[in-house]
Amino acid sequence: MARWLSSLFAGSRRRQGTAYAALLKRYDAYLQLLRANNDFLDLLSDMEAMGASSGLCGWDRMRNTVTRLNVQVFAMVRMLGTLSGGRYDGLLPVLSGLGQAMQEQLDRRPVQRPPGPLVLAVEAGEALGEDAAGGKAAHLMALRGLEGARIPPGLVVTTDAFRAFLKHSDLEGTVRALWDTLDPEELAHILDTCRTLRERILASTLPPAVMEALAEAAGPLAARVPAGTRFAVRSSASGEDSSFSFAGQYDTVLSVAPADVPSAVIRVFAGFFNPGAVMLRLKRGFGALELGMGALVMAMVDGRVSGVAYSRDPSSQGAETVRVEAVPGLGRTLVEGAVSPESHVLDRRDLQAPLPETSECASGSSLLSLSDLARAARLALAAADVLGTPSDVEWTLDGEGTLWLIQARPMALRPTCDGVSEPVSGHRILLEGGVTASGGAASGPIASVRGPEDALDLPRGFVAVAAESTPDLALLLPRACALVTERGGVTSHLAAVAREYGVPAVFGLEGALRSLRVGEVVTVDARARRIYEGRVAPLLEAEGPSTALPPASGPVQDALRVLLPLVVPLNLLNPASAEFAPSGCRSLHDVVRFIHEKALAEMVRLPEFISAGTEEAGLQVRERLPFDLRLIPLGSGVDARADGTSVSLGQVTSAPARALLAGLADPALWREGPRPVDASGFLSVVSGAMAGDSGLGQPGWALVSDRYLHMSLRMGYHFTTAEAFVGPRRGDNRIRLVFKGGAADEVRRQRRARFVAGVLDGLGFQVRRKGDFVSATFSHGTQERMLRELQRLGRLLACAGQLDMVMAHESQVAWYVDGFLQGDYARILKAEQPAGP
Amino acid sequence: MAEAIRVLLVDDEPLFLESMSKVLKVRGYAVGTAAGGVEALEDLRFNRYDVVVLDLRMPGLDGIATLERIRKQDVLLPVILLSGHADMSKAVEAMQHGAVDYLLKPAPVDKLCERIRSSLEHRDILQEMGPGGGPDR
Repeated sequence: MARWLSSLFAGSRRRQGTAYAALLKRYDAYLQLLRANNDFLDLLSDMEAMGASSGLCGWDRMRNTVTRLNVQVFAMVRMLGTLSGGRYDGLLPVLSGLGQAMQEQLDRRPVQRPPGPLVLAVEAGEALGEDAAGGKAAHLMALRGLEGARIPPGLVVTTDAFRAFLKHSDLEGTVRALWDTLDPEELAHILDTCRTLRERILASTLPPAVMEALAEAAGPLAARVPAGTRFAVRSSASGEDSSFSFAGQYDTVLSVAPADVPSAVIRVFAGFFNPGAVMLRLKRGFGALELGMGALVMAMVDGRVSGVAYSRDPSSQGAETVRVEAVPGLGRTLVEGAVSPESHVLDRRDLQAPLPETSECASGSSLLSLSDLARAARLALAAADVLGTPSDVEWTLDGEGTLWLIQARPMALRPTCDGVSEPVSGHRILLEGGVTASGGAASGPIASVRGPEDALDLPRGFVAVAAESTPDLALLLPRACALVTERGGVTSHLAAVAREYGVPAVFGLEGALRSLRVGEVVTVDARARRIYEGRVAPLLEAEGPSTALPPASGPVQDALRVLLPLVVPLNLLNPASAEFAPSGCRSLHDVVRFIHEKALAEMVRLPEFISAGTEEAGLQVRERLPFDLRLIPLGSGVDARADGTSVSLGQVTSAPARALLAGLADPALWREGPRPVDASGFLSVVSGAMAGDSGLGQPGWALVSDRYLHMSLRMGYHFTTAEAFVGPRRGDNRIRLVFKGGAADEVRRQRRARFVAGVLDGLGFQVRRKGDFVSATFSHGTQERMLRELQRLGRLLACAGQLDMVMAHESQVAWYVDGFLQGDYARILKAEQPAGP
Repeated sequence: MAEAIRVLLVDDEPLFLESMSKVLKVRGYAVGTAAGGVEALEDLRFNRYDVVVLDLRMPGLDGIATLERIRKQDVLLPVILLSGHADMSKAVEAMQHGAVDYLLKPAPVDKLCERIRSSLEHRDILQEMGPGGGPDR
């Protein structure tokens, strides 16, 4: 585009290069400023989200966001400098002060904890923290000695062992380099990279130091378990099961013979790069190795019945109930969501009898006696008590009646809106039933999914329907708006991750795959377990904040407490107040608000940089318009194939200019039809109304780009400036109109101004009028809406140009406003008079 | 089909270069790579690129020094910093030297592509200004 323009302006620019360059330079600065402003707003909402979720994010995310915020504001300050000729340099010290205060916080990054033991017995010595032992092991260590249940003997392979392993295998650099290429949106690349990293890890061996530590701890462990005992080797990652639910995203190896423990540990280490877990870490903004992976080697118990108990029922959190789910044998089938378990809800105050409820019990007979049910429930309550937050526990009951605690973790909760259980009237229910795995409501088109790879081809915001609630479907969650499965219960790992992502989910809904049509738009009301046809707005609007996880504490949270006030609050509100100055800026948001306001004001002044030469260099619009108009393209806005001196309306590629001109040129609005192109000026068209005007045939001009328009017209004696920016981002979009004067006596001029103001008000503009001066703005509409308003604005300008001579009575103002808004332009053109006096 | 946009990716980490090139090629870019500032300047002397994506911390010629030299060779060539180090003063320095933006790793691919697109639009306007215009420094 630019090259043809260069040749187009070659002649004139040699004469007027500086003036034209000055225009372009300012327009370019404005574009860059808008871009930086948009980035700032995106980053600001990230920052607000970090605040709202009590800082459940990685240090890297916080540090990157704060740095990028400062970069964007700095870019904006520079661009305002270009726009204003350095008028607001006072902003630089303000920004640098804010930046310095923020950098100080970021420099306080916690130093890495000194390495501790590589391997430790679960019951030995002092309990390790989550950082060292990983979440699963740390929670079990914290629950040692809990009454009513035993913890199987076991070992913790710490996250320090994992780091030592990466270093020993020369993989640390690889992990960091590849991590830097991962974007949560690039699913195929994530799958690919994860495969590579897992393969590399599986091909490596544990370092000698870790092998020695394992061997040393194995002796005492062997003494505590019967001969022939097999082991479960489970993941125990930092961050797992605590602030974040990585439920089911890491690996567990069951039935491991003692000699195979090292290779099982390596398999668990490799699981650190399972795609679902990597996605969660990326989404939460953790650095490559900001979290670590440990392993829990635990003697396996011969389970007769296994299950999960929730200290608070995840499907009705408001109620004082405990939920226990059970399956025969080992618990793995339950949490992997392959079977629908037997489930019981108990009143937490007495834990006596299960409440009558919609049990998904397949056989109808209970696997557990009432007292065992109560024991499992009590275990969940006791764990919640120690961990200090609603928790779920995995338990196993052996043939001798011993209850074993396999693991415990805080629950991800989701607020439910109780009392909205009546179906929404006027909407068809397609399917009803199942269990609430994660509350909330969402609407989107149905997609049937078989595995995580299906996510590669699916657009955002679909309702995923699957047969089983397998944990690997977690990879779909960032893209899905809701999740429905035919099998699996609220205790499945997938349910926990759905709650973590805040995605509404209904599980165990039989017949979902058969009866929901792919592509059909539905609304899932997960709490009420209903699926409606189409969008059900009342349900969607009732949605509250998406997740309510336990409040986190730690270095990120401490830093956020200082950083948020330096970024987020908006103190500068009123541009008319004396406070509205660089010195009044107390946050980055203030600085941006100030810049934005001043940049708009500078853009209004853009025409000052048009010199006579630049104006002449413009392209005449070859169209049946009521006036001469020259376009001055700002890098775009006109079709490249236009010849050197003029363009047809069809060759104008500036969306706002096309819309406004289409309205202005609407033949229905011109009493004698628009004047032919070669006529001498505006006067010939509106001869009746404009009689007496003379010497006003000077052309209007417009600066245009594909998204921008700045037009000045002198129609008759009145002067109009219309400025518009229309792009895909609503936040950028605005129309600004200034209308002044007219060829008539003072009273009639004011009447016409009132007509213009009245119509603009009716169109939804923000309007200010003083005498015969009107200024109006319309902001933040969609692209379509903005263009529609511009076209109406064009029609209004055409009408206004023909009105002032006929505004004989006050009562006519409202009459004409009404006429225009109803599209009855004939009323204005024929200068009809209102009925009445 | 329009000619692919040519991106020169500069980073001292070979695995990053290899993997990131793949990502950008999938997105339809023609990608060249350079393992450091000196190699990048050399490459730019002989090959035409539309945009440079530049790491900050590199042994030898670092990102800022490379950016300065690129500016001497070609005033208009858009340069986007893509750094693993969230360092505000470095970021500001890069912007003062006319970097289009300062992005942080892990590479935000959508944002990077959007920046590449918008930097070309910006370059076109700068070209439009001719020698009298030129970017602000």
